[in-house]
Amino acid sequence: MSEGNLAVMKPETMKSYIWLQTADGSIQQVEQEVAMFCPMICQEVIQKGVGSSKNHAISLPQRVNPAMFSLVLDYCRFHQMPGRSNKEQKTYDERFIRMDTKRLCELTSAADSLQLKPLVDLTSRALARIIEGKTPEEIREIFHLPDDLTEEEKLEPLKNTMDDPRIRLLNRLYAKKRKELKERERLKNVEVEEHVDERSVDDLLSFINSRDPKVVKKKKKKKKKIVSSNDIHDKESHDLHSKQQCVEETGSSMREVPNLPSAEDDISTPKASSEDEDDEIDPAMREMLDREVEDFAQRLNSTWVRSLGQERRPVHFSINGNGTTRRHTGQSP
Amino acid sequence: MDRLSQLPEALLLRIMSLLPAKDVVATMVLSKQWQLLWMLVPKLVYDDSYQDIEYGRFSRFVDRSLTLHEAPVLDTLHLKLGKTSCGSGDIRVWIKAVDKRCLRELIVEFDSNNSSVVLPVSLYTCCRMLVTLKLNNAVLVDVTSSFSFPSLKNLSLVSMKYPGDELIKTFLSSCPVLEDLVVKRCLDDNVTIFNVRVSSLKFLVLHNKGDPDSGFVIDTPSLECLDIFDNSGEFCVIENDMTKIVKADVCFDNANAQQLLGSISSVKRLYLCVPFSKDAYPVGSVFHCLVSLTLCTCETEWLNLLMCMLRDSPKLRALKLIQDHSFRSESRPCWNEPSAVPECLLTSLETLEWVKYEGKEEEKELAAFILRNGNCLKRVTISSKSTDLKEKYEILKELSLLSRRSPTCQIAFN
Repeated sequence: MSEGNLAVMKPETMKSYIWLQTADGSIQQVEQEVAMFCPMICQEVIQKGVGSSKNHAISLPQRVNPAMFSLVLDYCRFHQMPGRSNKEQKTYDERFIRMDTKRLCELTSAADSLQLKPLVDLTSRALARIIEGKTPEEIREIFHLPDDLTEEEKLEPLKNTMDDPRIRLLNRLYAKKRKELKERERLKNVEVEEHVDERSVDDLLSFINSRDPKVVKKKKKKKKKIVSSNDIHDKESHDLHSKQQCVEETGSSMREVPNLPSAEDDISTPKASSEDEDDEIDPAMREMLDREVEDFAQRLNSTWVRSLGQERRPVHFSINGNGTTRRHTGQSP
Repeated sequence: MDRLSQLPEALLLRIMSLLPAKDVVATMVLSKQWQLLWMLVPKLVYDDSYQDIEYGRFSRFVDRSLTLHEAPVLDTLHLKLGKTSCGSGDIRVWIKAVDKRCLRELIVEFDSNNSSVVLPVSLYTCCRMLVTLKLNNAVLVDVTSSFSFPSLKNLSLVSMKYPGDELIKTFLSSCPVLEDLVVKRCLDDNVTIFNVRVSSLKFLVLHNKGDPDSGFVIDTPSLECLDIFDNSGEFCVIENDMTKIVKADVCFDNANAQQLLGSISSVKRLYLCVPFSKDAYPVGSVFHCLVSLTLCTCETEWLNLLMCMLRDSPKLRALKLIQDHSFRSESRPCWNEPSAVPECLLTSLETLEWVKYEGKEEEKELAAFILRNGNCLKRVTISSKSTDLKEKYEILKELSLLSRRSPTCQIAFN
């Protein structure tokens, strides 16, 4: 372009440009005020003095391919102009992020490596909006995620974690409370019905997948339903307890939990109860947790490595003196 | 091609921080790479109003996900409760579960139907690294042992019930670096005098829609931004002038509130809706820094208040008149031509904006006065309250005939 040539010949009179090189090797020049809107480019120019000529073009990070870079530049060009009202900016942003999810991911990545925080926020929010409320199947389809979990893992994702001593302790405590409650129930003459339930999902997943009937049908399990007495709060149809039962029967070898009334009763009563009961639970829980957390962390790392192969190296946490965390990870960002 | 999972982990965690907890945990079944990622998400928002979830299932879900969650630092825990019967026992357990996670922000809110959940004592003793605490519609209890929130900067107490006046004093004095306080009171909250004595406080929002026999005592010498709304209180006492104040919104029903004006005389931008009485006005105060004044014209004496304010604000540049509430009394204000033209009209007032102008006698007089004397006026914008075109035309005609002292003054009519 003749304008570009003029810029080289009479730098004082024309506006200044910055030279940038994308990952594929191609070099382009961009108006200074637009390019400097990206903190990463700004840093390169100021700290290293590059970008002023074709030979000293700034190399952009690998995650910024030419197509994404031109999108980023459009964004910068709009937003760096002063005097844009909030409404104008919002309208532009809403239109700007309308693109397919593949490009949206690439754009997020590019914005992140250029440290352009407003664009990272915009694209992150757009991705979150896409993910929110969808079933795992839908999400996998939209983003082309590999479907590499076994059926078992999908239905009982807590399998690994059922070995978690904290969960075991929780279950034991719930069981104890349920027993107590059942005794109380007996004294009050509450009706108990039994239903057969087709569904077998663990508690977390059933909560999550309650809108998705497909995931559900596998084994027959029992489910109990309690007609309300005066201290039971909610009526029950999907029994949390039965799910937990299923998990424990099929998952690890724990069969400590007998068939007992629905879960919410034992939760509501113990938690609403007095200080005494809670004091009884907490110190014991705390002690066991402290003792076994270390053990669990080690097992977590080894499980992780085994199940994921080389994809992800174990992540170690260490806590600095002031309580903040430092994560040592072998992964490159 | 899976581009999503290739994003750097920090970015994925940030995206997941924007999701409600149930969607966060659901990612564990997406693929192998995602199995454990959810445990590192720094922000967990639990909402029990999802699709009529029943109490047992919800509370179980929160129990387990909080227990399994791994990240040593949990930035935010947000509990939106009220639709199920989650109560104080649940909150107690959940706070204990995140005790070792260096929680930075804790938000516990109950929807308005369920308003008597008592927050556990562990709220005061756990989570000592809290920077932000927001509580909505619950009950605080007394605590005998001492406690402190050494990092707490933002505190929000909305529609809370307290055990008494003492707890508030203890609570606020246990927050040495508190900068931002929001208190919105409700009826029957057991507080007679709400004491706000925080030397580090910069932003204060105080809304009192509650007891008529109660009031505030404010001692916040570092305050920069104040928002007071009180339509029922008995009194508001300010101890120590707020010399750093920049912006204040004062909406009072109580004539004694004008004492407050004296303590915020360094303010730059002011919104006022207070009843006026000559005795209560802080005579002698000069608003040296006041640049922008917005006055609500719902009170009978607003004209007198305005003239006093104009007289005492030598640097005023922008004046806005707006009727935010329906008119309070039967009698209309009456225009009294002041003996001297206020200095700001002659030297600094540049814009006048009048919303819901009715064209009444006293309003016309005021408009005429300002236009006649406003030496530096650049723009006058008047929006009429009436929708009748004929009426509007009449008003416009009258306004355009008024003489203007400033040659550059433009009138915009709406």
